[in-house]
Amino acid sequence: MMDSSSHDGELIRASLDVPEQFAVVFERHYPAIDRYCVRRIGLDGHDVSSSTFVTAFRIRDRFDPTRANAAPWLYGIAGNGLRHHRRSELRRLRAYERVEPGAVSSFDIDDRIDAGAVGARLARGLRTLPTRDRDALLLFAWADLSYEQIADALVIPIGTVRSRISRARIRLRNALGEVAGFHGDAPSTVPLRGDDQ
Amino acid sequence: MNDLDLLRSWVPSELVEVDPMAAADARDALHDAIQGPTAEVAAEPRGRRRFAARALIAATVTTALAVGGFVVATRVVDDRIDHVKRVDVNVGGDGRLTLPTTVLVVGSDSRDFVQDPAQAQAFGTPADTPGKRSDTMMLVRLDADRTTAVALPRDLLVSGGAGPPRQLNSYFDAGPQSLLDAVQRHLGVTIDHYVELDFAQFVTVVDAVGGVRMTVPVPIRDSYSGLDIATPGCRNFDGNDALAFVRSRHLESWSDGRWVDASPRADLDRISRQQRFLDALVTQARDRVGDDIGSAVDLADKVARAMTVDSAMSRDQIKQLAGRFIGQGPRTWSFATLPVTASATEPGRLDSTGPTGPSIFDHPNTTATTTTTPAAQSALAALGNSC
Repeated sequence: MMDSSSHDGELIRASLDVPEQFAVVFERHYPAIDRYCVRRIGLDGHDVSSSTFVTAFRIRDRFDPTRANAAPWLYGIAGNGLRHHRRSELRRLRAYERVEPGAVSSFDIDDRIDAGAVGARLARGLRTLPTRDRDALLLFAWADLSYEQIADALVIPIGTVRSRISRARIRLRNALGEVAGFHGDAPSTVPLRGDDQ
Repeated sequence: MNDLDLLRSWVPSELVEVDPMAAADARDALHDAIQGPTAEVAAEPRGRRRFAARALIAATVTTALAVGGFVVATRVVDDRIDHVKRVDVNVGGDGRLTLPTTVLVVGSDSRDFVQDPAQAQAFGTPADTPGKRSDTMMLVRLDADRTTAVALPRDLLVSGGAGPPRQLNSYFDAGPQSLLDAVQRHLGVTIDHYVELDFAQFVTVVDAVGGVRMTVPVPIRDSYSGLDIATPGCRNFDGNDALAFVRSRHLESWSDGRWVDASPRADLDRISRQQRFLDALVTQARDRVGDDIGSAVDLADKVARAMTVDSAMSRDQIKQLAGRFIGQGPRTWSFATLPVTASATEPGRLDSTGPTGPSIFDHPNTTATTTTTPAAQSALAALGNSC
């Protein structure tokens, strides 16, 4: 009997016979996937996260049932959906670049940081990244995936994940430049959180 | 702060909480896929619902963008929410992330939080008032389009398996689990989550929103709860005032040159005042926050951190529930009191008369009317109205 304590692989395998079991996978992962998609492309992200699960359900026989966590696989599918919206993602980022410095946020992470200026520069940094580098970086920073999980999601070797993220971060730091309050690492050293795990 | 921290805390998006409409759509879409190709044809009504919801959200978002730009937020909030107090209980539901969700909200009179003389002065000490009872119990159901709060009278007789029926709030003395079990068994509802506020937490919440303005038509007092308001008018109740107001079961009002009993039905009258208070809180917090999503997040975070929640509650759920109490999410709040009648067997106690099961949420706005003396009643009719 499958229940909410079964891991994703077990549930997905069971869903081959009892399709309703897949609903548990949905409840488990939908909020995170949806948040990630909306954060990347705005409200169209809801459609992408929705179709992610429909697609995942249809190709569930391809999921390795020994895997306990379906998140990387689902982010991979979501990533394919997001790619169709690349132009609107870039348009959004361009809009954020135009946000006036000083106009912003009642929620300061640090009073010395002008969140408006930072946001504009982050948007610019992200926009100018090659798509594949942006995907890797945001799976790391926004979806909280480990390097290994990102490798899984994007079906690329872990070394490639590492180099994409480090390249992306260098570019991001350059874009951030001398924003007040930003204490970036020296561009040559890139701490790899994924290595600690 | 390095580049990654900044990137993590930057939310180039207007939506901070999971949109329940979108979640419902996504669930339906998956359901259709699970049901097979035949069901996929009939998707039209959903499309309309989605369009309406989108239009609404788009309007909100446009305003938010015009006002605030964007919110540097969730990460910080999440880290703080990790520090909310937790209580270990087994909830009846499956800990689901999705709506509708039913939450048992309990206002506790435990004095265990008292740490300094000022608090001891204000609230008494655990030694003065040992143990804990529930001053207020309500079932709050979060739907995608509304929030419904059903008050549970403390004197309701509930059988606890072995032994004679006992009044509901006595179950709380044996801990929240005992109360949860009693409510679920007696009312036939599944409770997904549990939230508790003690006096100090309640005061924190009210002060966080800047107080709640309510009409006081005539002087009122309650020597038991410490309420004493001599000047009628529109009054901003701070945390301590509001606590004395919602706790009052022995309210007296000034009428024809003397103090008269304004709370003949004790707890039931108190419940209707609590409902007015909650209504005013939600409305005024919503107005105060306005279109500024940043301060909504900020306030929801303060409220969230003032609650004690069950150990299974996720960050999103905590934020969502806290958000509802400050008027975020759907605009409609409905209030009801569980239908009761005087107990035939035990004087001063109550028996429930209505249906049980999920339908207890179907008849909101059945707030019990007051049956005080006509003069006092009309004078007090406006008491607690938002102003």
